[in-house]
Amino acid sequence: MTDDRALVSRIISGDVQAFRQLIRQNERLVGHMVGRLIDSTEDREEICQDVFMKVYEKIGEFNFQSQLSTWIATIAYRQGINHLRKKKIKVSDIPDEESFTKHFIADDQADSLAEQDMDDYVLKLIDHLPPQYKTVLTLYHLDGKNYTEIGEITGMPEGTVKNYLFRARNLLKEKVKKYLGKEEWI
Amino acid sequence: MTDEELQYKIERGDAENSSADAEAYRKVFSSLQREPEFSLQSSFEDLVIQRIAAKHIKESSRDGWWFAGGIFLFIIGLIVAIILIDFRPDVGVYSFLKGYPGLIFFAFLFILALNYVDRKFIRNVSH
Repeated sequence: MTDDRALVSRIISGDVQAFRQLIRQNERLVGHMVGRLIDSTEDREEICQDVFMKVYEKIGEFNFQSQLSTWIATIAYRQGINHLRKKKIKVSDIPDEESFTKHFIADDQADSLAEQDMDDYVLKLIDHLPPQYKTVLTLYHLDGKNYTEIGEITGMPEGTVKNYLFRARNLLKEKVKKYLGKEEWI
Repeated sequence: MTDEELQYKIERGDAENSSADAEAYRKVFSSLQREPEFSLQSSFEDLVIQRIAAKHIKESSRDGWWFAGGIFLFIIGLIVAIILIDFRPDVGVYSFLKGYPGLIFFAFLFILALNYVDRKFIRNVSH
């Protein structure tokens, strides 16, 4: 937190090197979040740039109530969701649990790519999950954020974060189990 | 064991359970640690800095145009007002100052002193 304060203060006073440092420290996190939410490669790059432009504009409003990286992730999440909304992709509701689970497990779009290794297969499966599930999985497993931090970033209650994480992993498990069963037959 | 408990155990590295569900969860957890294929260009930092600089230039140029526009409108307004009210320059009420030659000089010095005190003591303290 002390490092965050020093860095933010240098950026506010116009130190470009300090802002470069902030980008280097957080580009992986922003890349993960935007990369998981947005399909188009060109859009991803531009949205990541927009995120850091926004960070630069709003850095004076950062109040140190959370970690700097959590605040930046919040901006990245909002930028990503706004982009999906602009593209008319529904993000407000998670589809009905039962019907979505049935559809997801029965859907074999990702299976056609399953000749690759298991990691690739799971990554393709994640692409077919709702944006909220993707975000929660990414923040928890790749960026090491806890439930409270994920709640701050996404604006979801902690219970919802836990629930989405459980459901997303459960869905992936069912697909992987089905795939492993097929492999055994072969 | 519920699925939630199983997730919890596998996440904490339980290697004893060898059920199909446990094996599938192990694969899922391991794959979830893998970095996505998308990564930012090596020049990403430079691109962001360039965009910020370009935005600043654009904004300051826009501010300049607004300022010039404001001055232009002010001059037009002044000319229109002078024509409409048939303004004739006249010292009028300020002619009494002739009787107090030191007053303008004092006012000038007083304002300078106020500014000095403000800069030297008040602004420095508040920063």
